Amino acid sequence: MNALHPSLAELAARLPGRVVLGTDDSEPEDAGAVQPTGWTELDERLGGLPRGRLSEVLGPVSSGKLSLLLSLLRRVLAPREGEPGLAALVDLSGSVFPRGTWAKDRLLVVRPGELPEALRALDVLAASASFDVVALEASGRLPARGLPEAISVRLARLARETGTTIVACAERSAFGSLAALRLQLAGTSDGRLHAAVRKNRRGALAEAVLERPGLPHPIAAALRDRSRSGLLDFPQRAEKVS
Amino acid sequence: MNPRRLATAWLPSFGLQATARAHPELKERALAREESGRVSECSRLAAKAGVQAGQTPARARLLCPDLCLLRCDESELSATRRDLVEAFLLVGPRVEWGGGGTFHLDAEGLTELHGSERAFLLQVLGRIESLGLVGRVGLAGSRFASTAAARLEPGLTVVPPGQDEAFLANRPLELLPLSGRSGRLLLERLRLLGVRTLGELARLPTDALSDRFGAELVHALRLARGEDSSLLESCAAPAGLLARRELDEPIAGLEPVTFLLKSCCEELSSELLRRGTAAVRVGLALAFEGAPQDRRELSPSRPLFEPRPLLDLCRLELEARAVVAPVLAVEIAALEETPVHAETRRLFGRRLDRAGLASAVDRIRLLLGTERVVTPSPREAHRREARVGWTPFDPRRAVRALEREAAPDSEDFETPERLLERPLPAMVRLPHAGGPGRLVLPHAPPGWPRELELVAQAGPCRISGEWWDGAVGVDRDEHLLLGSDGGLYRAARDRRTRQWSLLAVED
Repeated sequence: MNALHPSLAELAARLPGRVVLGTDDSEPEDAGAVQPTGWTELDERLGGLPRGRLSEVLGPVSSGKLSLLLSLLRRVLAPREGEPGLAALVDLSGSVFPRGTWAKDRLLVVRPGELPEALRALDVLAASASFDVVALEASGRLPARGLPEAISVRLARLARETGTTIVACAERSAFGSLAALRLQLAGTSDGRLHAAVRKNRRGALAEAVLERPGLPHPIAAALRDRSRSGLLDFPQRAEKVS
Repeated sequence: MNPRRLATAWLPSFGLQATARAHPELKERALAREESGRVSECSRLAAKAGVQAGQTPARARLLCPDLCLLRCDESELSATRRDLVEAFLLVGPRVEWGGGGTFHLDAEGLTELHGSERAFLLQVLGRIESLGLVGRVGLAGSRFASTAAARLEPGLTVVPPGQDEAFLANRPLELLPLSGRSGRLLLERLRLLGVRTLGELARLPTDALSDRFGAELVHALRLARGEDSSLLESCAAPAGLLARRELDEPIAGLEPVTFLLKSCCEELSSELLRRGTAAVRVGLALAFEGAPQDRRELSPSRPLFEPRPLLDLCRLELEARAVVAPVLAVEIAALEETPVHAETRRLFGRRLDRAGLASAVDRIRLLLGTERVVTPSPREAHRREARVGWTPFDPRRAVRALEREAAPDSEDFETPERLLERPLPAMVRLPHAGGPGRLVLPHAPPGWPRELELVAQAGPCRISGEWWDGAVGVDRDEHLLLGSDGGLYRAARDRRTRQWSLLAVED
């Protein structure tokens, strides 16, 4: 290392979060700064969502987006190890109701009626620097082109400055090129989930078929067992992964 | 009476200079500052390579491959500003920060003190250079003229008394501090009138044009004529961040004083956290009844931003030197700060920010209404959709629950379901011996399947009740349906109307 003329990478190490690297305007990523999701199989592969960055979880209904979202919020508010943090959910879809005791009184839920209200709430929550995670649930409510770029740029800056992890769940991309991680989920015919990392500034792209997070509902588990083992009353057909 | 004289010190690329001052290894490099995805300022080395404000980072790096593109750190800017104000106050009686790297100094009557105005400006330049910074200085009869002198001329520039208008005569209109849409429109209209320089502007008749162009033009005319009459708003010597509590009645004893200090420490900690800094030096002051004020400077072993260690530091100091008289006020200040990044905050343990949480909740309530800021509160009900309940979110209760109550041990056996507050009409053929079933949703929301093959089902689970409270009641058979997409759908068939509806879907 040249003390008089350190390289850009050395400067980035000395000034974490200050030096902009790369010819594609991407940000320097600290490999260690992750927010675990609580979904064990996913965390083993990815480590978690990048802290202080924008992440997206995309997929149709029944693809496990809600499972991942609730697992993440629960991991922040009621971790098995370490201190709890603060988490907030902006539920634009109006379809999320966490029923566990971990959420009661602890989880801040904003239920906006329209997208502009949701974005204002997101801005206030991210700028407050009080939350470890701020999540936007926008299934069925995002415009075709995602959020306006100016909004995403501002949220990315707020996330970086405050260290807040901001994650959006929807069928399509919300943050566009500003997302540091994009995870695509889809259900498989045997009740598992196909998870594909479509964008990852911190590491490689990967995909895998994983078990759904959390403990399975006993009846759901029984139904899926029957389906997988072929113990149904009618001939089986191979189904395409959706 | 001396004519009015005002000096301006201007430091180009002030943000980069503040950063390079804090990090000497950057001094010899080509630097640029990135703001909102664009270059906002650049060093001389970078400018030589063609880097300019407004370029994208990619374009800037193309022009200058060795470019070090940095984000600004507010604490470095604040620290450099503070040091400059302190240095300038040693030279002149009043200093005003004009934004960015611009500082105005009152230079009236200082000729006798320094020998000449040029000597005074040399002193100002010397103060800048003693802090390891680079700047230019100008001196004139008005703020606008002295700023123009500092920005446009190298080194130091003295505009003789009464010569402001002549000095500004050949300068372009774009020097005027006109911003926003109205400012741009005014400039455009002046150009259409053939006015290009400040001298041409100054010769325009004020009375004839004020009605047509308004107060903004009148102000611009005065500036161009060197008639800037606004007073300096002087900065006090910076005292750093502080939190203070004053009492109507004095209190005695260590414990009551410590109790007061606790709230001061929490306030100071909130502000430090908001700024992303920690206190390197801490000031503790006590005001007494009938005794001189006690001011102490404390140097913690590590930079502090958490309230508990701040309070412990103050309490140790007070225990070592007893509080001898009744206390009327307590004050704690961060005399010197250092940046603390998010990762470092996590290293020291992320605290639950009560003040920040409460403030965020209040703001969102103001924006959206109280009823939209809630926390889940499940209800007992026969119908699944009636179990959804919300109560207003209480920040204090949330922090209490997080800090004092153990995390719930039990896992949720409830499937993570996306609930429909109003069940969706559906058509269902259950899977049976003859083949798979089918779920059809004629009014499926965006992102939901309109048709789906069903491979397995569990049920019926009969739900009946609520007839006793005067309502129609519920009488339905619920089924769990496994779709070919692997998803689990909860549907119900009303036993009276025999209509199917979708209640929830596992997601």
